[in-house]
Amino acid sequence: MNLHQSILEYRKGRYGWWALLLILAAIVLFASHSDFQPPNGGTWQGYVLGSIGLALIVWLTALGIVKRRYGKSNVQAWTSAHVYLGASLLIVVSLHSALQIGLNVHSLAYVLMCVVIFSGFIGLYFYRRYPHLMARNRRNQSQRQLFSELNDLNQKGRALAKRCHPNLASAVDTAIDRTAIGGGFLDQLLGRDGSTVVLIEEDIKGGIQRKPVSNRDQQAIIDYVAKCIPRARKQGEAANIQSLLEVVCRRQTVTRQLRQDIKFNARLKVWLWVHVPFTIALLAALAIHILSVFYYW
Amino acid sequence: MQLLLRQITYDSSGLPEYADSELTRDNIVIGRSQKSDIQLLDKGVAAEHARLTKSGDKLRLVAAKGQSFIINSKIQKQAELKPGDEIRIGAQTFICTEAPTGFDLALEWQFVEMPEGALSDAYRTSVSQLGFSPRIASWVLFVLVLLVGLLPLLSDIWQADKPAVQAANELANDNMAFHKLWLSGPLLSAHELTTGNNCTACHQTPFVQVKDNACQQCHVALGDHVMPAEHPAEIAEWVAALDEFACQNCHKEHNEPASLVARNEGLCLDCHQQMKPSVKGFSQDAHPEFALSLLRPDVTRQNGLLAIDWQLEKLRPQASDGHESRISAVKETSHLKFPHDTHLDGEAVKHARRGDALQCADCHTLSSDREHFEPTSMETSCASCHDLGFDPRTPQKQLPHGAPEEVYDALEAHFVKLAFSPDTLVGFERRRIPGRTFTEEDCDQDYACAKQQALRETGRQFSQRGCVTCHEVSEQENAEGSERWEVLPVKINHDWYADARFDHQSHLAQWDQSGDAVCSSCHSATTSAESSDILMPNIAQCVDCHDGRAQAGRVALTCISCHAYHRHSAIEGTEGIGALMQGAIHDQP
Amino acid sequence: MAQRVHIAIIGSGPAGLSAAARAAQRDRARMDAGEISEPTHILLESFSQPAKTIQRYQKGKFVMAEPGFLHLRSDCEFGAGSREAILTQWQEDIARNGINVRYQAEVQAITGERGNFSLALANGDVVTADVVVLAIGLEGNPRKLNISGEGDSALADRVQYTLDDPEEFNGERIVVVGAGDSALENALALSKRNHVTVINRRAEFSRAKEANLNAILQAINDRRTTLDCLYETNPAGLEAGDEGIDFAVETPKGRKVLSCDRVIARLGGFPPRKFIESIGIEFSSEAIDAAPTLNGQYESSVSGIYVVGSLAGYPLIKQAMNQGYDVVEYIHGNDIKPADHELLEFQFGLLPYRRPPNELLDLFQQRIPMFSQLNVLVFRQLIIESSIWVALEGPSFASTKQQAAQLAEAAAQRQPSPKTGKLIRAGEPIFRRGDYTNTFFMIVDGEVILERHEQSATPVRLERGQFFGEDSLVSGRPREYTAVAGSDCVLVETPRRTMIKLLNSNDQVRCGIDWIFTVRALQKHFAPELSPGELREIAQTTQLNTYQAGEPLFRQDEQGDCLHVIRRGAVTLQRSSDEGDLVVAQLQADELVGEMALMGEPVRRHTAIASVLTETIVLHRDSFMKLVNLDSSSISQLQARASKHARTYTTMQAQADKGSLIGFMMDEGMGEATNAMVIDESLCIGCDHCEKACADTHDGISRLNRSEGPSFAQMHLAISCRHCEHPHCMKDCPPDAIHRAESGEVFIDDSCIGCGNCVTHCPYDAIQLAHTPQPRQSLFSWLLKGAPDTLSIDREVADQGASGSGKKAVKCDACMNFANGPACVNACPTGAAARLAPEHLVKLVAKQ
Repeated sequence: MNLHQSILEYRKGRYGWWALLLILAAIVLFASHSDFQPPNGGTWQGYVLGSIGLALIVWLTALGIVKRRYGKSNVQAWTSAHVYLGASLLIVVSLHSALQIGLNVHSLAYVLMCVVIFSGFIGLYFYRRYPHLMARNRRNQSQRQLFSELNDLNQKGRALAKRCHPNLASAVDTAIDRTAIGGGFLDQLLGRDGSTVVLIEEDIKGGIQRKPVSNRDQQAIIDYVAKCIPRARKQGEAANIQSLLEVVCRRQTVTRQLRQDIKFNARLKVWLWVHVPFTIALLAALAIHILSVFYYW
Repeated sequence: MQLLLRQITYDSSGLPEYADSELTRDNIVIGRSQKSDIQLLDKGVAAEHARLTKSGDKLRLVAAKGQSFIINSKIQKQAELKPGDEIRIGAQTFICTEAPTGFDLALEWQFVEMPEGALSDAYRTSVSQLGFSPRIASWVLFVLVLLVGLLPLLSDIWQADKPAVQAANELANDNMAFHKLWLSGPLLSAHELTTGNNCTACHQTPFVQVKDNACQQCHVALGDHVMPAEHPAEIAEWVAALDEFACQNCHKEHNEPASLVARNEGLCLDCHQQMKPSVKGFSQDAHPEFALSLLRPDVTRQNGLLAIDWQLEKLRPQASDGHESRISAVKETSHLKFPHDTHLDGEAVKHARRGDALQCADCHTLSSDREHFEPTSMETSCASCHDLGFDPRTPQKQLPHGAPEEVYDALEAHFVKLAFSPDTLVGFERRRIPGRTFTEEDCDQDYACAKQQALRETGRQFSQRGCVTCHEVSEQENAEGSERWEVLPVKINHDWYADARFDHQSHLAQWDQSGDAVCSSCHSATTSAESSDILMPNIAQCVDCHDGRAQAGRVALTCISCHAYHRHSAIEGTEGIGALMQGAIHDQP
Repeated sequence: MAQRVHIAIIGSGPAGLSAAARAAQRDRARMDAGEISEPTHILLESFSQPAKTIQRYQKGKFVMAEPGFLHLRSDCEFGAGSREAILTQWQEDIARNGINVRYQAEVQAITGERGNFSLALANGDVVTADVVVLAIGLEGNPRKLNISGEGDSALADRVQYTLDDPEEFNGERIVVVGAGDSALENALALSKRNHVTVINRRAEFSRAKEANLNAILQAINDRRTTLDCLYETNPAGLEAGDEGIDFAVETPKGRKVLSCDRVIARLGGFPPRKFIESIGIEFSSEAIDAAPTLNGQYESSVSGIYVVGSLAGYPLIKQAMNQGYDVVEYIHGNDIKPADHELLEFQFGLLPYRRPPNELLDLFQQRIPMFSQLNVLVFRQLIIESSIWVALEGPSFASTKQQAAQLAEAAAQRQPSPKTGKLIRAGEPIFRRGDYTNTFFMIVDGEVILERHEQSATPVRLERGQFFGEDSLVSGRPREYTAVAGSDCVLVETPRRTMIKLLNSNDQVRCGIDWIFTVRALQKHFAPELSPGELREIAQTTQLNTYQAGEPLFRQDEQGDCLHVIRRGAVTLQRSSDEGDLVVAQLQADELVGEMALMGEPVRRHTAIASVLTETIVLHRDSFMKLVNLDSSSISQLQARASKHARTYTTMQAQADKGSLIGFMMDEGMGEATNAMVIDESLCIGCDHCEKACADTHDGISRLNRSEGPSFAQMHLAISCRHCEHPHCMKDCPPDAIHRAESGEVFIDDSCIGCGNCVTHCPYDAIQLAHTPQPRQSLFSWLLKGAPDTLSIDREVADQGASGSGKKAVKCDACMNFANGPACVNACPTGAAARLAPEHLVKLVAKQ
């Protein structure tokens, strides 16, 4: 019975050895280039390497289908092989091309392939790193539970704030209303926090100033609430604000956790936005590459 | 606009609680996003759902594009608000009430608790909610790459519709920008120049390899590889069996770096290892001994005149047991006497100007084909030491380097002049030359004496000293005067290994040797006393450094390193072969 | 006014209705012949409509027609269908058969004797009858509030004792009185649309089922739901108020008046036993659900009073209706064969001896001592629900095989087709070690050999009258031995459900099985060389203890004088120190707990806590000593085991973090799991491929929810079936649609009716109700358009709960039909998902 194994450790990295063998075979093949012709996709070695590369690409792409033909095969084995053999593809195809780069469809295919492979490396890095961080960040809760807690905190915070000075109540309300979680592409990817809060401050003349300020990491509202504690006049108000402070501080933690979770989730997904479309583009480029080579044989 | 918003909630015992807030804004935005002025966390509410605006006295609620709200149980996209109106957006209900003084509008918000999960729905928490579809991106990229990739073909189709007046060349050039997209490697510049980058110049039919006739459009007069005269008929059949793609066998275009000639020996060996002598590669065992191209003079007399027909003879010295070829047993005939050993001996011969020993390069200049040497001539190589003076009294007088008649004429003129103008020799004491039976008394008449003297001197030049030092002279006993002697014409073999080429230039630059040492590492000139010695190295010399396949300490040689496939039609033009090979040698990587 | 009839039938449930219909048909024949002018039967119903129990079913409930193999013999029609359809049908049947029915006629007393019974009705009327058929069912009458104003006619339609359709009420303030399951279910259902207050007389809900308890506590604590509860509160009075009802209650803090629109009192009912005993009818035992003693013609100990229906121990509608028919025929002196007679003939068809089923039943009952005292009808029912196995040797096997084929063919031609006996070759296994079957076997003839697979274990030979298979039945664990049939052996295989029902109602059987279980446990663990006879005495000194989840078996630092053999459930061992509690081990059924106290230091080193409902056999020091003195053969094994335990426990103790992970797993009920989805969060990328794979391979509905479920130390227990040892879901499945495969998977078959009981019972939320399959998407359409977001749709569907029609319960079947194993695990690209049995937990924890 095998317990949890990562893709790289799968069966003691069996496919890593396969990939290594493949790379060695490709290098030997490449080295067998005689004087007949300079190394090139058009030598027989080039054709063999190219065929291996083509077969690999088609096979690697098939993961997208295989992993959706559920219950038929062990996807982890496929993924492990996908990672290792995908990495070896870089060598095989570089040898096939003999690193001849130009402004043509052949190099287009090569460049697209490199984009796919390197995005795959990034994905692998993300897959190895983030699940662990995510689990630690969520602290045994699910995202839904975190949101549920935030919802509770919001309600609790509003209820507590209602019983405080209207300025404070309004500040807490706006802080809750204007809490940013997730958001646009970069916000999610970088975990940016665009929260704001409208603070109401009385100036010396007794006038009221409404100031929308940044509430990044909920710090502004925490500071504001904390500042209100010593100024509380009514009986019990200080205790009330004290509880409110606990709520906003807890909100800080929860929103942080959520933002982190969203960030990690986004990173786990977003590399596929490059990997997959470029794979499809690669298939097109590959078809053109093969067509053009044999069209003008 | 001044808005009074009263949020009504109910506590657990069902008692209403009120929370008032004031909003002063030109536009009041209602929506799900946290940037809204009134935030409604509900699935059915858009990020920015509706907007409250004031124009004049009128208050309008306008739904954002694609959104709507319910006002007094009717679905509306925009509405003018008046007290008593009931607005429903999502699950929330607002009731317009009479605005207190100082306010433009008062709204009572019948607050309904947000459903479970509404909060997370209010935010975009996953990148998949951002509207980007990897699937669409995939298809777009797919089609884009296809279009770009197919541009060459598409442009052809497009060009085909152009008016026929357009010249074909122009067409090809127009398309080239696109066709370059399909270029798998650079063309040889000559090809690029001549085809005008028109792919179809060579690739005439799609999906069919380039046929020989495409090459032969330009390469008209290529010599045949197989000479029917030299090869048995069966070999001619082999060659005839080559298909219409034969050029492709050896010539692959679009290489990087640009090169055209395939270098592997397999193609040659296909035939040549079945032939005699059999060639299997380049090594002592796999390659036959080099065949010398010897020039043999066929000396005949026609009408008393010497006639020499130089015959080219191919001679393959058989290797003896110790791989030592018997090349030393072969002698050549050039009709020149030249002891290399003496000339290279610093004690014996010194350079006329420098005063030190002669070097090979003093006489042998590599020609521009890097294989052969410029012909040595009397004037350029010998004359600096070997002057043609004949009379010590007049050392400046030189004999012409020509036929015996010219020599005689020159001597006669000299002695006649001497006889009639003795002044020219004032102070000159006649000396007796020991061993000579020359006496003044032999001649009684100045003119006749001078003639005699000239004839005598000519005889000396052709049989004792002077010309005979270097040249083979034929003497006819029964002939009179200068006709008695004939100098055999000199023909120095220019191309010892006519079927191969050799790059002297690259061999001259060696890491551990320089100058004559390099030359004599192959050509044993220092020990050669006879000009009939053949100083050409044999295969044993080559395999010291070279081998058929790359290995440590050896430089790989394939067939075409030395041999060419195409022959020029005339065997005579050996220089031509060198010239043809030149390119091939130079594009060796 | 006294009315005189020949047959008085009390209760218009399925049995009473069917009996009345038969009586009415007989009367009609006689009336047509001019023999009588009035019907000689009467059907007395206390309610205003027939079939009160079914009337009380939830609206739209689908009623099953079980058992499928029994055909209906009645003048009334009945087939599986909705509550409404059945009730309408029966109304028609009453009219069509001309049944003389009297509603609102509650019989309060029966006196007299055969030929002259007088039945006193609640309204003072008296009916006299020659014979009485009691078909009153088990429901009894609802208990009332017994407070002032309850009978007030103004409030009559606002105070109710049943709840028909919770959806009928909307936006009302409703007070539910009661703390039983029905009260809680009503309160929960109503709270979706109404403001509900639950009144509980006690400080906690002790009578409720676990699922209901959890749900109600969650609802009370969740301030978003409109449900609250008053504890230790008693109803005091009802009064019409300004807005509906003013309901006065006594709370610990004093009297309070609740203003509400409706009061629903679910206080249970008066069991009918008292009434029946008052007539003089004897019961077979003191057990709560014991049936009255009846003869083969349903006649009770009081001559002339017949008992049929669920009161007689026949809870199924079809059976009850058949009985109703039969009993009237018996009364008329027509000794017909019961409807199940033919079924028995099919079941006994392969026996080497041919005799009428009744005789065979007697023979069987005599042969099995444990059942000799059982009610004949109960035994008959037991056999009908069981399978008869016949094991024969070579030549006779071949000839009987043909016979079996013919029998099967004959059975297949009948609609519905009855069960036939099972035939196997002598020497073949009945079940194998490791099988997850949990049926119970009794040997009627011949012998059976139990082969344990441990070395040194000698095969056990069982003979006529003995039984086996009780260990898996009790522990829920897979079979520990292979049972091989001897020659000419005849067995009765009883399904678990039937057996559990019997164990719960019959002390004799339960004690017998418990005793043999104990003997075999002692034999296995301590004294393999002693015979059951020798062990009998010691077995009697042991105790059977039951512990609820969380209850300790013993505590650290106590003086220990006994050891426990776990009979079912799981136990965690905890070591407490200043730093807190640390779990050092978790033990499964069939393992020993606390043996150290008898073999070493008597002071307990650990606290042993039942992690789920657990039963243990307690063996005290004296008995233990006696055992090992009598048979010292296993002493070295016991010592080796004890030292191994000491070693592992102390190693775990040194690794505090691992202990807390085990503790977490046990808290989350992994102790009773056999196959649970454990996700390593440090590998999980949240792609939900496991769910998609599950949906794809299971009719488009995922049976697991990855993101939900508890997590701890990077281990996540996703919501998915754990295939518990004692599946909670199986407890109460009306069509018996949930089964355990031999390889251990718990699955639901197509006969599911979507009642939602299993959903409620499952403590791990692993079962949902869902609509039937969605078409699979083709690969091409996926490439072009992508997959529809099925998961979210499914969740919505599942959230709608049991009310929707056409839904069926779906749950993980561990991909038992797939050669490659669970699709969820196979579909995981990163290796984060694994399905583990508790045995793997230790390894998992060690790896951490």
